[in-house]
Formats: sequence, C-alpha cells, structure tokens
Amino acid sequence: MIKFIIRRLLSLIPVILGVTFFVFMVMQLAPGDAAKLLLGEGATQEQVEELREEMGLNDPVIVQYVRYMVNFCKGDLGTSYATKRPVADEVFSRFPYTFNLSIVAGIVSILLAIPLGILAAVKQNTFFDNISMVISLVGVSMPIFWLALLLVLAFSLNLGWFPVQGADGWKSYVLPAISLGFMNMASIARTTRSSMLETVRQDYIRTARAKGVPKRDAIVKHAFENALIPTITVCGIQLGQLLGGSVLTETVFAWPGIGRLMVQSISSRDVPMVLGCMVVMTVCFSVVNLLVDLLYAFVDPRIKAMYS
Amino acid sequence: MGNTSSDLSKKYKKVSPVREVMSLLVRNKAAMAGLIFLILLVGVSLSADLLFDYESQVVEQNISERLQWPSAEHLFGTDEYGRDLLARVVHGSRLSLSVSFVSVLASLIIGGILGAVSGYYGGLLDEIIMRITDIFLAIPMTLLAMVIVAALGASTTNLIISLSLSAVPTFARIVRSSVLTVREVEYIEAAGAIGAKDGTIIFSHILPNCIGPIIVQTTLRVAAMISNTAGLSFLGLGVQAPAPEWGALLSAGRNYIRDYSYLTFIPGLAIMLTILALNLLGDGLRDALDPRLK
Amino acid sequence: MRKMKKLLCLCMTAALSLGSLAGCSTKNPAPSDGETVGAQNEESGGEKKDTLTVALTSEPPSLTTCDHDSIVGVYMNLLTYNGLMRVDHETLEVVPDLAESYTVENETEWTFVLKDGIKFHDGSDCTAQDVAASIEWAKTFPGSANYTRNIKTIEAVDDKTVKIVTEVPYAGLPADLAYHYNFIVPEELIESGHDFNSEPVGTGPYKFVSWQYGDSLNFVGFEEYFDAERKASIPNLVFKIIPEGTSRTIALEAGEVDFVYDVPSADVERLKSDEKFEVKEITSVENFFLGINLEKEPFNDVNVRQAINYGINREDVIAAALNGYGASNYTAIAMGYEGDTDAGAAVYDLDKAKEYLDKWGGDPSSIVLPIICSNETKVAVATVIQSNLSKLGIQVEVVSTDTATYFADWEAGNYTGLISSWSPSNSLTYVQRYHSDRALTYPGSLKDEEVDKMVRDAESTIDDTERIGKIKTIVETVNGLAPQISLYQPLMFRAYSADLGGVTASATGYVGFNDMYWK
Repeated sequence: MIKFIIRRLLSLIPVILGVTFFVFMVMQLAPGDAAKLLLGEGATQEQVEELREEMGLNDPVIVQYVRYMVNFCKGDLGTSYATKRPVADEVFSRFPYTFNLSIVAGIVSILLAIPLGILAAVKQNTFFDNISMVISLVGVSMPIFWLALLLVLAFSLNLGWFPVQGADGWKSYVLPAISLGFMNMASIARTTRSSMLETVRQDYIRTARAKGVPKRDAIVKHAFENALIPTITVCGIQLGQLLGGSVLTETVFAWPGIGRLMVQSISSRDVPMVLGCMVVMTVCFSVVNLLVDLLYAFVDPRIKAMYS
Repeated sequence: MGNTSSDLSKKYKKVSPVREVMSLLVRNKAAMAGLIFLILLVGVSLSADLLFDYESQVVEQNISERLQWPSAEHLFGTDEYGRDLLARVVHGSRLSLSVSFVSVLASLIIGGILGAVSGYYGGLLDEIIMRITDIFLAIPMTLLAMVIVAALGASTTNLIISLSLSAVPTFARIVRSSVLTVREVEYIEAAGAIGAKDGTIIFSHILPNCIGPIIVQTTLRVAAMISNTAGLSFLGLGVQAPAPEWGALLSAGRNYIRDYSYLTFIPGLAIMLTILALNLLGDGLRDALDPRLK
Repeated sequence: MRKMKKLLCLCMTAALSLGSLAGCSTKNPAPSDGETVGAQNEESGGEKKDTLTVALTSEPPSLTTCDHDSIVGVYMNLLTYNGLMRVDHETLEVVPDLAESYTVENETEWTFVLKDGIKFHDGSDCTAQDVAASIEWAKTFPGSANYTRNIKTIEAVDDKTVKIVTEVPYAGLPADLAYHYNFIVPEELIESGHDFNSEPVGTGPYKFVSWQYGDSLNFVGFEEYFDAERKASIPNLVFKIIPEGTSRTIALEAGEVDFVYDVPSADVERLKSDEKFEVKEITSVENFFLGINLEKEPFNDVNVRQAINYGINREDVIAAALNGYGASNYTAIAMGYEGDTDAGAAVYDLDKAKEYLDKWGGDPSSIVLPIICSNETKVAVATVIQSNLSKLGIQVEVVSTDTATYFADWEAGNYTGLISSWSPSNSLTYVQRYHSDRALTYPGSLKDEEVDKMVRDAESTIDDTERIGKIKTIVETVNGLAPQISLYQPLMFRAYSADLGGVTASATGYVGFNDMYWK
C-alpha cells in the first residue's frame, strides 16, 4: 500500500511540471509587456528596457520557465503586476476560502446524493424516485450562475435568511455551497442510482436474497459496497468541476476565493497571478485525484490485492 | 480475400446492432423526448435566417421598444436595447449549438486519432501520448478554457479552440481503451496477418467498434460545452457582444433579473432544456448500447 | 410517454417555482412587510450606528500612494493620506489641504506653509521634511512622471515651510500636488523601506486596520486628524468588495451595506422610490469619446474627422446606449470644469458633415471605420455611431474584444477607432492630453506643434483667469482638429441608506467618507 502511495505521489511530479510548462507557455502569448505593465504609464523606453533586463524577460522562454520553476520550489511564485505583492502570499491567503467552500459543497452534496441515489434505486419508479431524478436532472442542466442569482433573490432578498455576499460565519456558506454543490449532487445521485440498480440485478444479490438475507441487509452489506466504485469515480471527476465552478460561484457571491482572484487577474492582464492561481488549483486537483485513487484501492479489493 | 471477411463482419456487426440500439432507444421515452427536442432545436437553428434577419432583427437596436414584457408582438419580450428576444434566442441557438458541436467534433477528431494511435501501437508512443493527456486531465476544464481565452483574447474562434482542447484528453482516453479491448480480437489479427495497412485497420476495423462509448460521450460533452460556453460568457471571456450566444444573453440580463426576469428566465430555460435533452439522450444511448442490459 | 410528460412537467415546475420564489417581488418594487432585514438592529437598539459599510465594485490593487493608477486605489488613498493640496468634491477646485497657504515668487518658486498640529497615524509629527521626502520619493516612480516632471527641486526651509522650484513656470503644480502619487508619508518610513501597501501610514482622516484580500477592508477614524472640521464622524469604515451590480443593490436593500458605488441603472428607479434609500445622481466629468488613430488613412485628414464629428447624434447615443442616463458632449473637453467651453463645438449637423466630406473629396463609401469596444455599453455606443454614419455612407465595423486585448491594441497603435474615456480632476490636465507627449504611450494621438506650444503656454501661466482663457482657446483650436470625438458624460449613481447624512459625491467619482454622519 505504501509503495502504491509513493508511486502515485511521484507520478504527480511530471504532471505538475507539464501543467506549469503548458500554462507558462500559453501565458507567454498574452498581450502586453510585463515590464511596461509593472512600471505604469509614464515609464520611458530605457526604464522599460532596464526592467526587462533585470527581470530576465529578454532571456529565452525556456530559461524563464526553468527560473520560474526553481523559484516555485522555493515557494516564490513571482510578483503580481497589479498589486506588486508576492503572488504566493495572495494566492495562499485566498486558497483556504476556495478550499473550504469546495469541501463543504463536496461533502454536503455527497452526503445528500448517495442516500438519495440509493433510496431512488430501492424505490424504483415510485413518486420519490421520480422527484429525486427530476431534481437531479435540473441540477445537471441548470447554469450554475443563474441558479446562484436565483438563490440570492429568493433566500437573501425575499426571505432574508442568508447574507448576499462575503464569507463570515456558517450562514454565508449556505448559498454558495448549494449553488456550487447542486450540480455535483445531481450527478452523484444519478450515478449512485444507476449503479445500485445494476448491482441489485446481479446474481449474487439474488442468491443472497433467495437464501433469506433480509432486503435491507442485502442492499447495505452487499450491493452498496460494490455500487460504490462508480460513485467514487464520479465524485473524483466532480471535484474538478467544483474547482471550475467555484470561479462562477465566487463571482456571484463575492466570495474571496482563488477563482475570483483569477477572473480579476485575467482582466487586469496579471500574468504571474493567473499562473500562480492555475498552478495551485491544478496541484490541488491532482492531489484530490490521488486521494480518490487511494480510496479506490481501499474499496476495490482487486486493486487492494494488487498492491498489498 | 480480405474484403470478404470484412464485408461479412460489417454485415454482421452493422445491421443488427444499429437496429437493435434504435429499437431500444425508441422504447426509452425520456431519451426519445430528448431526441425530438434536439431535432426541433437543430431545425430551428438551421432555419434561423429564414425566421429572423440577423442584421435588422438580432443586432440592430431599437431603443423605443426597450424592455417590453412578452406580448403577442414580441413573444419573448425585448431586451435592454429593444431587440426581440425570440429572434436573439433563435439565432443564439445556432451559435450555442455550433460552438459546442464544432468544439466537440474537433476534440473528437484529435482525441480519436491520438487515442487510436496510442492504443494500437502501444509502447513509447502510447506512454508519451498518455502522459500528455494526464497533464491536460489534471487541469479543470473551465480553468483551462479560461487561461487559453485569457492568453489569446476573447473571440468565438479562441473559445472553440480552448473548449476543444479541454475535451481532447477525454476522447483520447475513451478511444484508447476501446482500441485496447478490440486490438487482440481475432479478426483484427487476421486483418493484420493478411497485410492490411495500419491505417485501414484502425479506421475500418477498430474505430467502428468503439463507436458506442464515443457517441455517448459526444452527446454528454456537447451538453458540458454549452454550459461551459455560458459560464465563460458570464465572465466576459466568451462570445463577444452583440452576438446572441445563450450564455451571453443570460449574463446580459442579470442586471435586470428583478424587474424583467424574462430576460434571464428565457435564455436560462433554453440552456437548461437543451442540456437536459442532451443528457436524457446520452443516458438513453448509454443504456441502449450497454451489452449488459441487452 | 406519460411518465416522460410528468417528468418534464415536474422539471418545469421545479425551475418555475424557484424562479417565482426569486421573482415574487419583481412586479411591485416596494418590498412588503417582513422583508426589511436591513439596519433594523441599530434602530431598535436606539443607539447610534458606529459603522459605515460600503460596497466597492472591485478590489483596490494597492494602498500605497505610488505605484498604482486605479480609481479604487485612490478611493482608499484619500482615506489614509493627504497631499499639500486637495480637490474639493463639490466644486472641483484645488484648495490647500496639509498646506495652510502658498505663495508664488517669480513664477517658478512656490512656498507652502503647513498647517499646525498635523500628525501621522504612527503618532509622529508631519513636518516639511516629510513633505520633501515624500515628493522626492514619488519622483522615483516612472508612473508619477506626468505629475512630478515639472518639479525641479523641493526642500524643507524649516519644519513648516516647503519650497518647490519648477523647471518652467507651471500652473498645474497645485493640481499635481493633489494627485495621489504626491501624497505625504513619514520620511522615516520611506527610508526604512516600509511597505505602505500592506500598512499605509499617512495623515488621513481614517487609519488602516485590516485587509481581508478579496473580501473587505477595515478602517477606523483617526482621532488626531489635523482638520477638526473634516474629522471622521463615523468611527468605523468597512469596505466590502462586491463585483456583481445586482448583488450590490441587494446587499444595500438587505442592510448588509449602507453605501453603494455604481448602482446598475436597472436598479436606480426602484431605489429612488424606496424612502429607506437615497440615490445621488452626479454628471460625471468622465468624458467618453470616439478615439481615432490619426496615423491611419483617411482619418489623418481633418475633414474626414470633422464629417464624423458632425455626423454623430449624441442624443441618439445617450438614449440608446445609456438609457438616457448621460449628458451629451460635442466639445474637446468634459463639461463641468472651470475652463470648459463649447466654443467651436461640433453640434450634430448632417449638412455640415456632408460639406466636410465634399471638402475631403474622396468617396465616402470607401471609408471603413472599425471601432474596438471593451464592453457591452461601448458596443451599444459604437452601434449607434454605425447607424448614424451610414447616413453619410461611411461604413463602421463594431469590433468587440476583452479589456486586455483592447488596451494591448491601443498601446500598440493597432486600431483605427475605439471608444474610451478620460476623467482628470481639472481642465488643465484635460487639455494636456492633446500634447504630442501622449502619442508616445498611445500611438495615434494628436501631434500638432501649434497645440503643443499652446499647452505649454497654458501650463506656464500662473494667473488663474489668464490660464483659463488660454485653456478655452486650446479647446476651441482642438475642436477644429477633431482628434477625438467627444460623445457623452455618464450619470453616476451613488445609493445609500437614508439615515446617512453629509454625503458629497464629486463629478470625478470620489466620495468624502469623513464628511458623512449618521442622522
């Protein structure tokens, strides 16, 4: 098992290198001269040239990339063009907000979705099944920022239950987490339902039932564990969606997370900040995927056997 | 000689499964509803120019008629520049659908070729291609699209580039794993043994066999693309004004959401129903194509 | 099929019910009872509110005086710092701030005497040495060049007297000293390399407390502020960053904030009709114009530009693009400054436009004018221009891009037409943009030796009346050259709780929070 974890951890390295390389190269195409942007309007040509030289912007791109990565390993992500503050400081001060929101949205959606999916499968074709699947379908298909705006109108303005913006206290988590987690919940519930249905039909469950195992035990002990594998896959995929969706949710709810920082940095052409946000989000996403893989190994005896 | 065997396999493979899948699909009411909705939608978007003139009805502003609630004259009402929302939604359907279809198609072609080559040849090439797809899979799709648009500038072309790039790895993965499962099957070996070229084997023998998962994934991906396009438009990184892309319509209406809620409700519903239809169809196809359920 | 129908029906109902719950007050703007969440706790307690919460549209990039050109950054600078001079919010006049008075000797030597009892937030006294050091420091930043270039030397004569010598006679000095780059910070901290961005220390009416990146900024009133009349009356000031216009309005209505910058025009009427809120309407001095690249054929010909100038109906632009919330402008300066004039203004006149086209002599249909726009309002403006100019046979292409590309194209001279705006604090700074210096940063700007001379002449005229006269002549001359085509000045909306008094809002966009009080 430890060998497995180490191997997966090592495999993160080329991914991170690749991602940073790709994003670094793409951002080279962004319009605007870094030195000019840093100096501001009144800068003379000589001052710009001088700063370019100082920042190493005249070096080949690949040299610049290597320099970036060396600094990256030291925890230095460069200086923001807009705020002139270290990118790392800002990114890490924002990161907990995005992380907490995603975790809350993720956990709540999983906790709601799995029972919902199981119940829907058990009570297949009943009213409950229909209702829960309708909610899931709406969740999967509703644009996230529209849902967010409607939630604000309904629960902040008209009912006054939750704040419109900001991130203080549990109340402020409710609406962003719902709008972010709704789509998730929908996908996970749908997958759980269909994989439950599939498992329930399989021979060993039928055998167990025939041998007199009560229905509930058959479902909980036998079917559930096997139905869980596709559900875990979907949860893993959905976590990536959460990070992407957080960009939209954070904009609507004025959430001080990394997604909004990125949107803001894109419009102000703040290349180091965009790069920093991307790198941190991607690393986080990769780590989550790693955890999902481990969970897999934990649940699926075939994989467990391979590495034990 | 080689022809006979492939003809036979074609006959055997093609006719019956397609019919079988269709008959299964027809029995799935939800999927059929989705399909019918999509057919209607594609019909509307193809005839958009016949229904409404782009320049005079979709783009041209008519300030004296701004912000009118839906009425007999304007079925969907008018927007803040006095343009008929129905005309914009109809033309927007063409834009939204074509952006999504083109991006999915592009990523399908690129991803398909990469996946097929990777799965068929294996070895170092496979390793390289798969490591590259790993990298792209490690970037959440929306963020990848955002970065590309940020670097290249916001335009419809760049939007398509970024959307399709973000879906290439998924298709490469699907095709590769399908190829791996059929590569060792006897008739492929046979085709190789009788001297068929690699290209022929990949395109006429292997790819048709992974068509099932590809179709399902394509349907679901188009849905994801529509929602992503809308999201990027909301952030100002998508299709630029005055083009009536659905996400842009929804996003333009957001300041009016309280007094003129139809401005967000109608495009929002259009996006929602389209994604819903694609999802229903995709699910139906998946069920119909799943051999275990036959 | 029945099941499917039921399913779809349920789907629609689910979406509709959320929609209707969300929209249940949409048709009648006045909120019903029980919905008023806002500001109730303070009222019921009977105590005076001691906090003012303000919704900002975006985050300030920096809290330093130097090193940023952001308007939101200046909002913050005005809280924590002072300059020798300041711009009065109501009149836009430049008046002494830290300075008690100033005198000018032989046109290039300015002597400023500081007020008594000026303290920095760290408790130290603000002296002439600090003033000199701050301005010397500002000079080291390239971004300040336009506002410090004319200052040759600055020295502290004694603790309270500062002497500034300018390169040439320069009337813009007081206005430049009111510019945020020239705000005063402690000399000691400059020398120790203090990070003013993370901890601003100045003499301003508010002291910085904390900054939660992306979320909020907190300030507290400065007890030892030197100007007793303008001392902050509300002790706590909180800024919330809320980028969505709708969310800002809702936050105000829900009582989460008390003051909103930039109310979306869609919400103005609703807030006006609600007695719990006040909406201040100010005609901004921000002048929106059609910028034309003067290096491109045939727009290098003044007749073509004048034809366009006379051919655009500003009333149409305002009605269509701004929903009527704006004032039309036909002249080369924003209206509202001392020194504005509409002499030689190109008021909409199709016949005159055609005359100019005849003078040019070419075929109007050969003129293609692509206009780049960075947002939907600009697109709407350009679209009106398109339909206006089509009457002259001139073809306009509306090109919509994102902000980053827009600026990159502009700075690279890679454009023919663009919609932009400019909102300095006074008329002299406004006409300085017509000096050919500007073409260095923004290619395609005006390069005219005559105008250059006139601008330099106006700059060096210390006498106010005389200078204003010269500025008017410049505007008139530039009107004849039509290097940019002024379109309109938008109305700005500031909405706030009706309990808030002393709200002043300047036409340049600034707001004086230290003057505000709870009724």
